[in-house]
Amino acid sequence: MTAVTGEAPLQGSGVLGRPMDSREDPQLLRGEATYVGDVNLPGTAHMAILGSPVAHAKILSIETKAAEQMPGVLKVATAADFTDVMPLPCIWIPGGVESHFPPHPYGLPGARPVLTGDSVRHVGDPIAVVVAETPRQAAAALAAIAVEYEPLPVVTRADAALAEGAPQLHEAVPGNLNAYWTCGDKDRAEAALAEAEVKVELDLVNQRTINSPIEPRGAVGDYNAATDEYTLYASTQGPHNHRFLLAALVLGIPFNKLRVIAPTVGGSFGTKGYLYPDMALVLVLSKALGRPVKWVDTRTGLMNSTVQGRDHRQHVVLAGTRDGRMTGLWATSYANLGAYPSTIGPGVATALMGRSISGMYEIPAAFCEVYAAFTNTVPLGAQRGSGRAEAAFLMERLVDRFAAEIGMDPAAVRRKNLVPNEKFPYDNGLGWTYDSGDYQVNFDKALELSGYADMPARKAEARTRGKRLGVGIATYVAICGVGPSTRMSQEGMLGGTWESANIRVNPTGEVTVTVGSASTGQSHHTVFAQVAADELEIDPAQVQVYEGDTLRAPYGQGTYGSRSYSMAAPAVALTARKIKAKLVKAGAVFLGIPEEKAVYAAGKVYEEGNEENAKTFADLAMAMWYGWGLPHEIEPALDETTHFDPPDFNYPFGTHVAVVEVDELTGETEVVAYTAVDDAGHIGNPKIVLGQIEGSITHGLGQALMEAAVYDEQGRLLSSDLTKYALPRATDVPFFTLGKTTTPSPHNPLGAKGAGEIATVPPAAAVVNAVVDALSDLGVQHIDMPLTPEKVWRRLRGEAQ
Amino acid sequence: MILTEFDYVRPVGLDEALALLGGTRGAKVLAGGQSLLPALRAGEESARLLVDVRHLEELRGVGRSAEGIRIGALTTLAELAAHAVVLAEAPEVAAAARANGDPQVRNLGTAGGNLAAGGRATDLAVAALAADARVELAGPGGRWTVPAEEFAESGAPAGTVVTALLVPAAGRAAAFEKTADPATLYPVCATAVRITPDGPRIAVTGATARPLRLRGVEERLRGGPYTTEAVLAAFRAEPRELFVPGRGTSAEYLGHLAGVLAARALQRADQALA
Repeated sequence: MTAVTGEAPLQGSGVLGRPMDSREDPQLLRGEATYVGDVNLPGTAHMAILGSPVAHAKILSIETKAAEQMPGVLKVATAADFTDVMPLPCIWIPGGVESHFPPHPYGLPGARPVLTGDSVRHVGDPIAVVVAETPRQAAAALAAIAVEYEPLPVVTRADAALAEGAPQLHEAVPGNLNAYWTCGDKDRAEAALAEAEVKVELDLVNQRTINSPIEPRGAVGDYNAATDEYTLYASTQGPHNHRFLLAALVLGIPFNKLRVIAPTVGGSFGTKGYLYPDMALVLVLSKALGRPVKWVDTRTGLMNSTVQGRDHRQHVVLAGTRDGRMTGLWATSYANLGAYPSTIGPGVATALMGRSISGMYEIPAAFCEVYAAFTNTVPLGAQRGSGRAEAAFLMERLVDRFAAEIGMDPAAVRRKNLVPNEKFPYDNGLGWTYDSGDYQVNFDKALELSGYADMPARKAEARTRGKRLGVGIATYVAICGVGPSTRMSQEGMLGGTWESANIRVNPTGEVTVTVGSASTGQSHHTVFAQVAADELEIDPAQVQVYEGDTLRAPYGQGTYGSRSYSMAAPAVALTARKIKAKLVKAGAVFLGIPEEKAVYAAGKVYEEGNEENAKTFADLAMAMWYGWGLPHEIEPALDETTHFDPPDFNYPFGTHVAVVEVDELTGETEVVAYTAVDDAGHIGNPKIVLGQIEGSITHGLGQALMEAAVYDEQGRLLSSDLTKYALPRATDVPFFTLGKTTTPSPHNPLGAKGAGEIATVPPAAAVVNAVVDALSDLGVQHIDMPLTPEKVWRRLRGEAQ
Repeated sequence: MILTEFDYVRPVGLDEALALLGGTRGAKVLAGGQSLLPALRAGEESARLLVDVRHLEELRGVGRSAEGIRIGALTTLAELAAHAVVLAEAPEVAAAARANGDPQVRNLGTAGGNLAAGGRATDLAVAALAADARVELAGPGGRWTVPAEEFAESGAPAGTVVTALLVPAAGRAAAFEKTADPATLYPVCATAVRITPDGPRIAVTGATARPLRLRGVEERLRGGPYTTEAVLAAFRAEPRELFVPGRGTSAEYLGHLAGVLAARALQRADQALA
């Protein structure tokens, strides 16, 4: 395949693609890694945040005197203490449409103040902070802050927030409508629906879920009065991005006065790329107090403050022919953005979902409209597979409804409508142009691996055991590799989305790779060493990888949307090529031969036809460090950087098959088999990707079976800790049957596509399809997630949803 | 939440532990810590002194006794779940121990602690009820035993320590069934049954406010058969208010679930008997 980047495809030593053990795992598993919570600077004071106990109210007064008198308390601060701190901005807005945001002094879309002074808009909305000598003292003093509220009516659903007379959250956002956003061709879709032989419709709730990384967020601010420099240690997946946004748009300090360091980050699932009030607060308070200020969240704190996922209410329609051809697709979605726009939430809820709804199918007329609304809930953001999982859910549920309606096998319907190979690059009519794919091969492989043909016999056998066996298929296309910066700007992204890498060859011949991205558990140190070693044809053990410190790393945007391997790894490979080119040029000089006679192979430069005349990698590294004998046009040292901005996104895809058994008496659903065949292009380290696929599937099964953020009518989160919010355990899932296909992306020199989150996209759809299949003879057409035993039991008894 | 402050002491013997518990306001027994510490962290319980009894040898060990099996209070749930004598003579007790939490919880959590934690959220108590076991307590007045059923209602009196669980041997005619809450792994509903010459003993927890023997159901099922239909009918005849809604589950569903689990347990116990 010819890469449209103009770069040659990778042809390295073969280190890349090997299932090498993760370098990071031993430290993580032994508890030796340093997280923000482990950063203990001398003289550290501890911050606690007072979050609102009510979901919507005017603040009439805040009394802090009693708290100030509490033991160990150094400072109690409210919004009035931060008047020179700007509100957090929102940087991904619904692209191409009118949108409304709280204000920001620079005229940008605003998100939220660091502390709210006038009103509270969700439970957990930060009102005040205490800094004390110990975390316990800070927490104890919070209880002594007296806040007087004037309660306001509460709204927790997006559709309800848009209704006439609904409580209003923001003065600058009339009717709570952030944006009405559309994609696709409305007229054609309307016509396709009107003319359809068959039309199926569903009302879906893609319930809100809570991101649950093992490590809650934390931040340590350290201001140095002697140099007027700030350092922020934070659980961040984008240190450079946080540096830019905090310095330029929140604190109003020079960019070069802020350093951001991401220590080990214990998972994120998309939550730690956002700006949160605490990041600014610890910095400002460190300056005010002349001491480092540390804050580490609790699990309940996380659940009331860290961005949450999904949360769409949808009406969706699929039109088609009696013989199973899909002709039109329509989705109307009410997206719940929460109380404030999160840093990139509005883009997630619109483009990432809407443009993805047709998945692997060729549908001539498709249209999606999203009403993105503010409600009295925790702000919405990304969750692993964000947008794309919601899209796959609606599409794949519709396909099963359609298949049932026309009496066709759901696999046959899918197969009939897959985008054929000759149509790539394929414009899906909704805004994405799929780069590459071989959907039929992928689809057939998944069906074969799952034993799809044997399901009727397995169903009959299960019935003898009091179980209803159901099988559910879900396919998906998950846009990844964000991305092409200019294209993203059209999509409403207010920032660059390129990525970077630097390689320094040490004088002693070892190699240092530094990337702008920042791992939250994706084994960057292992994989990027493989990329550099492969290209340079050296031992990966010689390569050390650094990231996460803005002082050391080249500018980059961080990790999100499964981008690091298709964005940062290409930057590493291209940088290694620059190093190699320079080694050839300089090697020729040292070997006393013309450059065209110099050959680079196996980490050496030698004379073509005379391999004895050679310089090893280590020889050359030392020679370049000394720089002796180099001509004027060759600079000494080996130190190169690449900033990679791809021509377009990449589009991994796949097919999953879930087999469930529903207990006829109790309604309990057990996922007894799960097959996934994913295509992420060329994979750098299959062992690491395997772990990501397994984790992703488990994550998706969690939404299908048990996860749900539940708010009561007063806007209080009822599922506010892990005894009330169920997460899937290893014992809740079967051993997965995993396969892959490999369709390289032409949009980067590695042929890579995103991988880390892609397998989170289809499981919810696959499992709900399977359970509905198991209950189909009872006339069941849909069940809302999570599929709790009682909900399924009631359907088994013939009750309506 | 941040754990509140408390004092901590490791007495050298049971007598010292009892003296500390009797003489200190807000003193609580710490054994495996799997119920108490999360409750303290969540602010659901408070303590000023934790009396750590984990090293008291006299509370350890599982062995045969005149009454059947004597299970020392500090026996971990993991030990209990795998103990050959318990598996053979009181299989519902072993299964209930095995059903608790996850391996880490079972490695630390103790039989005595699980019984003392009480409420809907414990598995062992329901097995103890079906087994007609007795709970041995030590207090300032010496040692005594109470029926597990009574203990499930009243709990451990202040100033006492659970020292052992005394379980009559049953052979294999007993079984335990549970549906676990996916978040906590506490029982949504758990049932334990023992089939005796006098008829079945059936106990339920999770679906009920606390572990209960269902004597009405037992009476209706005396002499069998234990078909699912018969057991469900026997459960349906119970007063509605016996079953208490759980988080996200209705009393109606829980009453039905209790019947299903009891039927399955009875059928397994009956098979084992035959």
